Amino acid sequence: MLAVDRLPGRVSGRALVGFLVAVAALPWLLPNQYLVHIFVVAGVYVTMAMGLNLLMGYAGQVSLGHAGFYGLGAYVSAVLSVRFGVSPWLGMPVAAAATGALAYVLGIPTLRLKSYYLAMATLGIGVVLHLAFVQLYPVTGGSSGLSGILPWDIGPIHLTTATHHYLLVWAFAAAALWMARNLVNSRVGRVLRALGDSEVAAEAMGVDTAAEKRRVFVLSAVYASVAGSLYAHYITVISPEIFSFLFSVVLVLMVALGGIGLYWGAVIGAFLLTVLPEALRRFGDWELPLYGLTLILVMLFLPRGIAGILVRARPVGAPAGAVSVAAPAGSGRQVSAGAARLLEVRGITKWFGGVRAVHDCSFDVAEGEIKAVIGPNGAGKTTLFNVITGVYAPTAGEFRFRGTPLGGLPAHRLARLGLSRTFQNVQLFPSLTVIENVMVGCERDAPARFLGAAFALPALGRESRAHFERAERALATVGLDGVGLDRAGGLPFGQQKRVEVARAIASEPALLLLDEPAAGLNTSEKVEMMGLIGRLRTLGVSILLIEHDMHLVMGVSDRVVVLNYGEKIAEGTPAEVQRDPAVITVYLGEDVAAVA
Amino acid sequence: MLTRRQFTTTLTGGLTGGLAAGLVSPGRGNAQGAAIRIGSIFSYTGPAAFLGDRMKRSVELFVEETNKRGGLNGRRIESIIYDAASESTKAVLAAKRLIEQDQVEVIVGDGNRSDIGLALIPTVQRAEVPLMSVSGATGLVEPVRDRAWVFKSTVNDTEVIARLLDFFKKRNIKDVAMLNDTGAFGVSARDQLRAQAPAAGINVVYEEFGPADTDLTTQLTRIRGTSAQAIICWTVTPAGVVFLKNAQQLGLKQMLVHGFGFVADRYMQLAGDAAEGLVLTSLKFPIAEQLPDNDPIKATILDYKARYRAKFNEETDVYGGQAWDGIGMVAQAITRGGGSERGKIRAGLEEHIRGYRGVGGIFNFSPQKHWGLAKSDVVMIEWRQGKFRLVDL
Amino acid sequence: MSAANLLQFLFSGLVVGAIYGLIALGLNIIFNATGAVNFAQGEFAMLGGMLGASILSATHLPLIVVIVLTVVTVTAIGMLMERLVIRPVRHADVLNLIIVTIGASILLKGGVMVTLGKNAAGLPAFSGERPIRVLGATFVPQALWIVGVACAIVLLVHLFFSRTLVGKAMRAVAIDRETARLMGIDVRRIVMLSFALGAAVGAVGGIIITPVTLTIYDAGTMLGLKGFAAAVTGGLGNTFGGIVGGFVLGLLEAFGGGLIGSAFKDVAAFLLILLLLFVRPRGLFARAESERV
Repeated sequence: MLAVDRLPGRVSGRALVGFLVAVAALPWLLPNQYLVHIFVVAGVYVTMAMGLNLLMGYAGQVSLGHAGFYGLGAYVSAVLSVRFGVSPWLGMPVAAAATGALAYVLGIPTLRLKSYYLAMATLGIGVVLHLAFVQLYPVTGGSSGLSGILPWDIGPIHLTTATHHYLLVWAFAAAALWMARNLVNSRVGRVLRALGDSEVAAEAMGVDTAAEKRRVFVLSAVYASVAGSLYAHYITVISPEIFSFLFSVVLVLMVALGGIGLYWGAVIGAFLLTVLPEALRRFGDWELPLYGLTLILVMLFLPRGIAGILVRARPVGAPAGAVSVAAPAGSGRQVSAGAARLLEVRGITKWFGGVRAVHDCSFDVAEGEIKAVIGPNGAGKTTLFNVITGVYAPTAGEFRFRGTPLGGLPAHRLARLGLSRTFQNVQLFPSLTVIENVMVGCERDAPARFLGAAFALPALGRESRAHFERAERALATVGLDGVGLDRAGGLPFGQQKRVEVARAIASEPALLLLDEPAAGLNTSEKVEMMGLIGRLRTLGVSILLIEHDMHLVMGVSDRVVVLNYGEKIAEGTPAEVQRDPAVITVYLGEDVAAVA
Repeated sequence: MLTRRQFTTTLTGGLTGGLAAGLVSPGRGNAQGAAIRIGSIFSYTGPAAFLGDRMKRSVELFVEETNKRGGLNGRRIESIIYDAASESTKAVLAAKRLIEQDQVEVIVGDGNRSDIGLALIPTVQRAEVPLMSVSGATGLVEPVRDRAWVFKSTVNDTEVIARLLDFFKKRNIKDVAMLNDTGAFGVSARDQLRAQAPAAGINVVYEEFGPADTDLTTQLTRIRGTSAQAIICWTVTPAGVVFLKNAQQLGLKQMLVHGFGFVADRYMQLAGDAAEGLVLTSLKFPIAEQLPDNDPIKATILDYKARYRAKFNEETDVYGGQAWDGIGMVAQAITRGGGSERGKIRAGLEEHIRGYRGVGGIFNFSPQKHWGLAKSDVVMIEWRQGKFRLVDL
Repeated sequence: MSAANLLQFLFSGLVVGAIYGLIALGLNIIFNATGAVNFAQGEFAMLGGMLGASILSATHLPLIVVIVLTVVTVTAIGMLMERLVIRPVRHADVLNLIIVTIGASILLKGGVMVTLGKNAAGLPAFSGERPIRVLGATFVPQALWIVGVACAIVLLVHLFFSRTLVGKAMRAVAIDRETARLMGIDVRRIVMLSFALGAAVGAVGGIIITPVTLTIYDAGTMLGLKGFAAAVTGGLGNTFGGIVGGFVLGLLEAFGGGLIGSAFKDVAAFLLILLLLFVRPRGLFARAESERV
């Protein structure tokens, strides 16, 4: 039996404890305080890098402006201490709250952006913050810097040596590392990695991707702010130049060199980029070009970063079994005999610029029904699906699910109401294991509680285990028991499709939309897929599917809708539709229709 | 091809070994006859680099020559110089390395930028190691009770501004514009001007620019609309050259003045004829040849210039001179004060630097005053026909 | 605020904007062929200025010869960079390419610092420095060169992409590398060519602005940053968009600084970029795009 606690990518608690013990012992092994000081700075940087890694590596959002949050944390608590005599113990949380609030507000518009545009926006945020530090001279002291910042003390004890500060900084870093580990190991970590791989699929599985991204953005900003406060009260003199764009770049480098998306990568990267410049000191002027050369070489030879060397790729495992013929245990929703209308589509129209993809399309899907949508390529089938599942907003028309109007709702809300789907070009989460892919399907029940995950509350562990079991059952249903721990991206295409179906099953939907389930499958696989679809109905799932393979369509569907150039041209039982002259014309041409 | 494991082990081993080797410093000699260790922190890379280069070389020159003559108190000097890379974080690391690992007795040079120097102060104060600053901000050495271990081998911008205001009064200039960069050097001068101008009866319009800016026509256009009779620019970066060219382009007729961070032949040459007639505040260094022969520091300056030229085959400048004076005074504190330990050097600087003839001016330290130069060491010069010339002594 | 002053702001903004636009252009050329943003683009401009100044002071050849030599050298450097740094990157995702081009920019910056020195350098103006007065505002002849050459290059590049076979091949590679390869396009050559072009455009930009702005080994950072901002404003990959974005940025700086205060110069520009990105995430000229799912 696979254990949810031994999934790859989990950060071992023992490893973390071991590391922290080594860290705690380090100052007594180092010959002088200068070396200890380097590791104090390393502790500050590790905190920041860990937060940034969660954002960039797990959630896949680039940020070129984190030095700004670092600076905000430093300046807010520094200014509070210099101007108002506020103790750092109060200043730090105030700064963290302010930074978090700012990140939250900025995150709303910023995180809608993608790739280079996101990079530019975060860069802009960092630059504006830096300029604020320089320009708000009466408050921050401008370029001359701010000195006289109150140092750390614990009650009456003043911290004086580097070792004292080392222990303080690493205490905070340890807490940050521990929380990050909890997040990575939890549902939240899984959700973040999923959304880093495919935002669309995550949304379709009920994940509120915008909210998740925002949460991790705020977390990474808060981590940076805490690091800033730690540093400011340690060094007691700060100036804006510490928090410039160039440092944001260094932070990104730490994450990338260490190994992006790998927990220990952040730690390795932070240590490396703290120690490296110090070690290169003897090269004088040559330090700068050597630094650039080092970056290039690491990226060329170690694209997954240094931690990436330590991660071994898992081989793809045992061949998948056949689709299970025995009825699985699990929820079997009662199929009501009287066909209640599950999905009502009314006059849906969708324009893309000047292209009319779907025009005035209307039909129903009844409870317990299997309905197929067919039509030539470009008929608008997938667009229709995308509208129904919330990927696109319809230009006109509406649709209801169980009587509730749904137009314009984001995809994750629709998923939560009971719609689930697969994708035409498979949208798995390739870097997650198969079982984790399927577990994401369970996300639609309720969002994972972020703070609960960070503090490793037992309830979340229970939820994860429950999801694991559901996922296992779903995999068994599609006949993929043996491949649970394999990386989903490495599977053959046919199996990937089945994983997608399993993921949809795990979400226990009322209505499942299958987008070309037979595409890319060979004959025997298609037969299995047909059997699978049939069995889904016995689980109480209603199905709307798009398909080109007529054999499959006619074999499993109760009713068929035919689209052409975005318009519905026919609807009926498979037999009726096959004889419909309009349909024959569309597929085979007018001559054949005339003959038929 | 190496197997993955071999590759990993080799790489990790090589990396760790290399890093560890880089962090270690060479060991000390044994106590008797051991070298006197003098540390230095300059920024010879990064935005402040062109200043730091000559400072670094001046220190190297001084150490080499002193050692040739038998060292200080019979012991040779060992000089350890680190780059601050124009970053205060790196400067602090360098200071800690010098103090804790290299065990230097004194640090000459503070990253040659005021904000970096300020960042070093807590470290040197706590470790009780004397620091000889080469940057302009007054806050580096004031208030003395909080700066017991910090000295400065250049002039405070307080005095420079005071001198400049005197000059304006002499020339009957009542309205000026101040265009400073937003770096530490520019901001500090602006603060001094704000503090001193009202008492001098001079009205000031304030504008600013970023140190890396490449176009100042916007600011100059705004200034053009005011009643300013002179326009002061205060920076150390090439933006100061752009200032001159833009002023020429706009056809500005006001007197143009530059701060003492801009006194470099190279800058004047880059500005071409836009620099003709430019007035600058400066120490006496650039116009040493034009000083009267009985000027107390003329010979010192010319001597230093000649030696630097002989060794490095290029001209030094007033900033290199700041470092030269810095280490020179430390050396004197050691030889006259009789001791080369940290506390003794500090005491030596306070007690034994009186009337010291440096290339920047005549230095006088005392327990109450850790900046050696005064307003009288500042002169007004101008650039005419390819040379700096004395305007107002 | 007099009309002459406003006109002066306009002139400054246009000149500065042309500079940013040229950097953006180089960025867009490379982006169009590779899908990567070259964070070393500013360094190409810096190289143009620094190498030009060094060659001139070392050899005293006529300026036009120096310019040609410089552009050729920087183009070669760009091609070397493609071959040694970009091509070998195996997982060519956004982040890896960002890191590797940042590494290249640091290497170039450090290399120039070590070999050509840390001092600022300048070039003589192409047609003298006598200011030209128009309606109370002035500009130097070099400003005409800057704006003129920038616009000319943009036009040439646009024609290249839309009219020549090679240019179209380059655009094809940007849209779908695999299919382009299947159609017989030598993708490697195209990518190399794009870097050569990008480097050349960068170098030319650096050379024409150095008489006005001077150059120094770390001038590339700010230039690259502003160029990137200009490119994003106009929409990454959009040739005309880049130059328009540059002008928008330049004019904002000039008018923001002139009308509100010099403190606002840089801030205004970046604030506007942020606002723009929030409202029109794909830039000023982006057409509404949809992702095929």
